[in-house]
This record gives sequence, structure tokens and C-alpha cells, in this order.
Amino acid sequence: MPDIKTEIMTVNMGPQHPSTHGVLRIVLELDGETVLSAAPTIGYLHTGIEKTIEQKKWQQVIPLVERMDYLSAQSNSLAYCLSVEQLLGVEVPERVRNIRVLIAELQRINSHLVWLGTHGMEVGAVSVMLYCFRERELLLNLNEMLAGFRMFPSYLRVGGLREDLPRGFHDAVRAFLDRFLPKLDEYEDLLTKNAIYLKRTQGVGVMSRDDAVAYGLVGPIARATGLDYDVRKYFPYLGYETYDFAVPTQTAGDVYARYLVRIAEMKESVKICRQALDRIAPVGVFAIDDPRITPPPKDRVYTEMEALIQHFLIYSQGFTVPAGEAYVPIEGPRGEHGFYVVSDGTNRPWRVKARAPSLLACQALEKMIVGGLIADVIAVIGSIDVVMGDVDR
Amino acid sequence: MSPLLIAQIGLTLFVFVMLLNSAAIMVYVERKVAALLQQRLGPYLVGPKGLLQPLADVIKLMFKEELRPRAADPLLFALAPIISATCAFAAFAVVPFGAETTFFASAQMISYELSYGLALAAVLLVSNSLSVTDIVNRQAGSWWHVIPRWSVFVQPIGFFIYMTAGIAETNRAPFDFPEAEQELVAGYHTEYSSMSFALFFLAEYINMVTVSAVATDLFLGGWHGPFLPESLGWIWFLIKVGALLFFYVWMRWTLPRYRYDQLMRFGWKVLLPLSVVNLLVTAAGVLYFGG
Repeated sequence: MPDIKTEIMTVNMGPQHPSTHGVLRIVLELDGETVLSAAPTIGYLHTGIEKTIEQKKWQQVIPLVERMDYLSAQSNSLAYCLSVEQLLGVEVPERVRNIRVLIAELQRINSHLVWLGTHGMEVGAVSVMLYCFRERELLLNLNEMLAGFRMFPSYLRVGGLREDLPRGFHDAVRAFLDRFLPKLDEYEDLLTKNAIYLKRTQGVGVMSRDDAVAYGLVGPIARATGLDYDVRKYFPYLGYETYDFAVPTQTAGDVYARYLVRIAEMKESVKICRQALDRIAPVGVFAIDDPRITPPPKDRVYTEMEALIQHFLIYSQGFTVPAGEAYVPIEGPRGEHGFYVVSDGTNRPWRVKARAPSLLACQALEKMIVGGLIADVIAVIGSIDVVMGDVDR
Repeated sequence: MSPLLIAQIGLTLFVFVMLLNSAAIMVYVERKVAALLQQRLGPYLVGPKGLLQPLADVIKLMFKEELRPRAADPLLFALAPIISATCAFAAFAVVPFGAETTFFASAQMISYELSYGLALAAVLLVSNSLSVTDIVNRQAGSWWHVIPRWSVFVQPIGFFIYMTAGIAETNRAPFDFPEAEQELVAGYHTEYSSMSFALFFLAEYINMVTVSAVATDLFLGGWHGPFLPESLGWIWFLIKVGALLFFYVWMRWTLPRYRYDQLMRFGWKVLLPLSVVNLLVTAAGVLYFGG
């Protein structure tokens, strides 16, 4: 057919579109249903957190960084703590390390559950969302038990933890893990072999291994292309090298492969959680024994002059960190995630710069959706699991 | 006016009101079943067990402001929901739901999509009749006192095609493209508000009821069933329609959505050839066995 006039249409998807995971805006050029070009536009959730941090004392930064990537709050604070602790030159006790591993893995499950729920909803399987949030609710309950705050517990502190584990925490986590694995199978029953889901996700948003390297992709997106880069294995921190777990990979590089990787990661996280639980004594040290950083226990503050002075110093001027810079990456739910921390030797950070895996994923979005259909755009955005709070900061 | 005419008008009005009710009930059922599938409670505040929720919804919608996009054609914009609802009601006029009432105009039914029509044609062939009442009555009784003589056992493929095309026809998930919530942000529904939105909503549910009622008549033996006398056949009818409606709701809240091109491919490359073959085989069978 020679003379059919077609018109290229420019469509603005977002920032208010419900399936763009917050406020991602994509300017799409469409030929009918086919995407000709895509320009992700960011900046709609700019919070200025990185700048605000420069006015806070070292310990006060924790609640702020937790609000960056708001779906994996404690991964943020963990990465920040590790960097600052390296600058301080302190080593947290073994028990604290294991508790941090436990918390980080629970946070990974938490984040992946939100991802699975929203992704399922975006391809039309609405009920998956409510199933996932049902289990996530239990994780939030654990957070509440831990720190009294469900989303942003601020439980991790530079130099250890805020306080010791609450009574009954071990049992609560075990109860969750026992319940979670069968439920995970339930989600898989709904999606993994569902013919419609396979049609919607296989061969969609394909990223080759080379492209993944070129775009600097990390985390589940990279592992879905065949790379096996996982910070926990390559640059172990918190003693991850002593844990027995696998790094799941896929080779297809499409939306479905990312789905499989994340599902498998949740299973591995459960394994790590169980190992960590076995190592953590119910009661014990929860912070380093360093009077500069760790506040003294309350009963001593009320009875001893020295402890009162120490308490006053920590809560009024904080502690200073030797001048220098540090970057300790961790494997967050979205991939390599770390804070580049610069200190000028005062009690406030000179600069804290986050390395945000979501930002890189956003950058690669264009590569994944151009040439596909507009319905695929939604599936792909869901599969790369961007959190705009992580992108804009 | 003759008593017959008055009786007919009365009956029509009765069916009309009952249809409106069925839509209201379906709204409630949809929400309750969805809640059940998703481990929620669903509506429970308005009235006992939330039964008055549809009423509350209607009142809310009535008090909403009627909005119209500035660039929209006023006449067409106002007409669209009316046509959609009127068609939904008109389509139901052909469905008989008890041994005493017989409205029929089978030709009208075939104005649906091709495969849909072809699936129906196969049933008509088997039944050797265009009267829906006749078709239903031919399904009375059972084979060897075990299997009911329903057309679904003669025409399983036809039933499958009919139900699949029916979902697409009523724009329900997994084929709900016009409103694709996640991609199109509920499609044209976003432009409508207040009662014109309610009319679309009404039309969707009434179409669902119609498709299920027709399927019951053509494939599931209509009002025929064991244990109940002929005069209470409508109970069987309602049970069957209810089961099909539940199936619809179940589908919607369980399955992901097809992509637009995938539905097209499925419709033209699978469903249509299948229904043509089904029709041909049925016709050959009817010729060979003499109907």
C-alpha cells in the first residue's frame, strides 16, 4: 500500500502517569503503537537530600539517606554507615555485622515484594499486588518491632545499632521466613508459567550483556543479562563471604529474566536470613565500645558524671570524622549502591554523594523500549524497578 | 389498550428494572469477589455486609459534576454513553429466561464479532432452530440419566470460543484494552464523569449479564435442571448465569492483560479459524447424522 499517510505522535508519559513508579516522565515518539524514540526526563522528585546532608551531623544523616531510595531504606543507611565507619577506622563487632546482614536481606525481600506487586499490577494481574503487600506488611511489622517505625526505622547507626534487638525478634523473623517461602510459591503459581504473562514479558525490553556493561547496569537487571556481578561476592562486606548463598543469573536479558532473577534472589535472601539468625545471640553487644561515637547507657548517664558529659557531647556536637573520603558499596535490592562520603575533619559531612542504581537504569530505559510497543513500555519500566527518590535525591 | 399489550409493557418494565438491579448486584459481587480473591474485606460499611454499597455509589455519581473536555463534540460526547447503555439493554431483549417468556430475534445476536457469531451459528445448526426457546428446550433431559443434554457437551469448542469472544466483547480483563488501566489510565473513562460515566459502567455490567445469559441458554441448557419443577426453572437459570458471572470476575482479578497486538493475533489467527472449522465440522456432522 503506497500512499497511507502516517503521522508521528509525540506523547508525554508521566510525570503523573500511575505506572511510572513515582514521577518519571518519558517523552515518547510514537508511530501508531510503536515507540520510535524515548527520552526519560528526571528531576520531578528532587528533594535536595544530598545538599541537606551537608548541614547535618554525621549521625543525623541516617534518617535522611533512608528517605532517598524509600523502598529500601535500611540498605541506604547501611551503605552510609559502612562508608563513615571506614573513614572513622572502626570495626563493628561480629554480632552487629550479622544483625546488619539480617536486616539488609529482609530489606531486599521487602523491596522485591513491592517491585513484584507493582510489576504484576502493571501487566494487569492486580491481585498479585495485594498478595505481595500482604507479606510486606509482615516485614513492616518486623521493622516496627525493631524500631517503632515501619518504613524508615533508622535503626542502623554509625558504629552499630540504635539499641539491642527487641525480645522475641528471632521468633518473629523465623515465623515470617517460614510463612514467606510457601507464599512465594503462590506468587509464582500466578505468574511464572502463566501464558499471558510469558507473552507480555518474554523478549520484551531486551538488554544484551554488552549493553548492560556499557550502560553500567548493576543488580538484577545486569544479572538477567548473564553478568554475575554481585557486590556481596566480588567485594564482600559485613562478612558475606562466610555465608552460603548463590547469585542467581539469567541470560535472556528481557523482562521475564529480570522477574526470574528477583524471585530467585528472594529465595537466596531467605537462606541468608536463616544463617544470620543462627549466628545472632538473642542478647549481646549492639554497638562499638567507643565513647566518642556510642552514647553511654541511660542508667550510667543518670548516675555517673563522666557518662553524662559523654552523653552531652554526643548529642550536642556529635563526633568528628578524620578528613578523607570513602566509598564502600553494598549490594542493595537494585544493585551496587553506595555513598561516597567526604569529610573535612569536622562534625558534619563535607559531601555525601549517592551512587544510585536507579539512575543508571533510567538511562538505559531508552535502549530497552525503543522499537517496542507502548504497552511494553509499562512492562519495562516496571521491570527495571526504578525508585525516583533514588534517582533525583 | 388491550390487556395483552399492558401485560407485555409491564413485563418489559419488570425486566428492565431487574436488569438495572442485576448491574447493581454485579457491582457489589465484583467488589466482594475481588476482595475475596485478594484477601481483603471489600465493602462492609454501607448497609448490612456492605449490601447498600451500589446505592451509595449511584448517589455519589449523581451528585458529581458533569464535565466535558472543551474540544469534544457536545452531541457525540453526550450520546456515546446513552448509545452504549441502550444497546446493552436492547441486546438483553432477545434472551429468554423462563419457560413462559419468549422474546427472540436470533439474527440480532449474530451482529457480534465474527467468531462470536460463528460459534453461535454452530449451536444453531446443531439445534436446527433459530428460536432460542427451541434451542433451550432441545437441551432438556439427559444422556443415560447422567450427563445433561446441554449443547456445551456437543459443542465444547463453540462454548470456548463463545466465552473467549464474550470476554473480549464486554471489554473485560484480560482483554480490557479500551480502558487498560495501567497503560491508558482507564482510557476514555477518564473523560467521563457523573452519570455518563455511570452509564458506561452500567452498560459493561449489563453486557456481562447478557453474554452469560445467552451462554446459559445456548450452551448450558437454560432453565432445565434436575430437582426443580418446570415452573421454578428460573432458579436454575439464575444459578447458571451466576456461575458464569463469577467466572468472569474470577478471570479479571487473576490474569494479566494481553497486549493489543496479541489479542488481534489471537482473534484473527486462532479464534476465527477455529470457529470456521468448528462450524464446518458441525455442518458436516449435522448433514451426516441428519441433525
